[in-house]
Amino acid sequence: MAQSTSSNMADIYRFLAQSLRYPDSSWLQAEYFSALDAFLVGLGWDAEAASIRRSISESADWLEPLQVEHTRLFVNAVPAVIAPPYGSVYLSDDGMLYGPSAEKTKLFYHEQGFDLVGEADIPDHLTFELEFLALLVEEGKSDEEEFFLAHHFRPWFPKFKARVVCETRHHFYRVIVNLIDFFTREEM
Amino acid sequence: MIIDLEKCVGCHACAIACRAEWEVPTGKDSAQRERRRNWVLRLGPSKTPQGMASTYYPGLCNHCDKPACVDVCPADKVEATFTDPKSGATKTMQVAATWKDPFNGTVQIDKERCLGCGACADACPYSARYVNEEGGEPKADKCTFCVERLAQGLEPACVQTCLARARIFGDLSDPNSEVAKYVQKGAVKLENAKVKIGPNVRYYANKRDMHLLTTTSIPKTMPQANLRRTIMARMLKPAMDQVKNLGMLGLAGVVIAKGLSEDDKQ
Repeated sequence: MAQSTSSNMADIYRFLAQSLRYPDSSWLQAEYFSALDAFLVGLGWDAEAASIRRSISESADWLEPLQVEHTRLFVNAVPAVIAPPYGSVYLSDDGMLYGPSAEKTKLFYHEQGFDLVGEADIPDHLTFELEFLALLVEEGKSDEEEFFLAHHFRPWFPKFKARVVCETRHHFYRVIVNLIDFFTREEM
Repeated sequence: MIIDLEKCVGCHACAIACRAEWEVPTGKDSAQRERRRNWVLRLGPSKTPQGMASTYYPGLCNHCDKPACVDVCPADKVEATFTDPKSGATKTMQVAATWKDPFNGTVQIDKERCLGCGACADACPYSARYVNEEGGEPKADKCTFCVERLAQGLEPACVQTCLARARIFGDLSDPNSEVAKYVQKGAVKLENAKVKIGPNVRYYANKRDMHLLTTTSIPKTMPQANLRRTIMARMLKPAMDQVKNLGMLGLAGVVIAKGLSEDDKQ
């Protein structure tokens, strides 16, 4: 079946979004790691692929360490959560959750014909922003994709990424945030 | 090639002959590029400093001297040997899946090795390439100057079919050719300071039509496509197939839903 480049990019955004969801056995299986491994090797990121292979093969129970790390990085940790995956935390002066920038992001979703499903969903969550990018790609809205990256996503993502890369104790999250960075960075 | 707008009647026969000869589909490809090798756009009527102008922009690949589409091709390079039909000289070069022939100057695609990534189509300021996704693997497609017909001693399909003889095909390097004479008469390239890659199709027209053509049909800038992401997305194809087969990507749509249409709200 023929696949166009643009739909590939949509799948890449979705794959990256999925990779940052809470790790549970509904999706985090051998097939996932096999796909991630092929993906990294395809990019020429052999060292990263090897580091993930190592950390997964070290113990029989690789799921729990990932769950612990996901929670520590993104949900709660003592004394404070390390890297909240919400844009406005990095964009408002006082690190506010659901700050003004989140409202702007929500409005942009709406202008493009998309709304969050849950009333209480926080619009500038990293996985929502990545999924929204996938939707824009599928609709062939490449100007809007570039605009969203430049004005909504990149203003905060590098700060989030820096915290994860510095603080994480698991190669998996370091590699995933570097992958997201690679596919969303401005270039040339 | 020269296109003489004083003769062109805008009948579209060239564009249709090209579609028929090379089975070029109509409409757009999945990246919203016009699927075309050859086209005719109507210009005007518009006011110009020289008076009212009304003409056409018959376009095709310019087979540029410095083609932007060639350098971006991510396909693995292979060694290829080219032969000059006039002198018999040969030249061997490393080429990706698209290249500029060092002797006849045409820009060609090897459909066997084309990955169908569309990077070349995104790089062309004239939108002279698209990706043909009809049947099987996607492949980039463009005007070849009908090299296959030329090899049989025929003219390009668009030239042969032009009832007004507005398209003139020939060797620009031969000063006695009809095309070289048009250049001496002032036939122009569609280029400017920002888009200057040496197009080899030239246009001849009266002053007002030329003003209309050059103000509307010269690209304003070179495309700044996000080439890294485009190319990477294609190079990862075997890995992407695995990713798609995970079957988890479909779950994602539940998070952001398409807004209700006006009908649904009522």
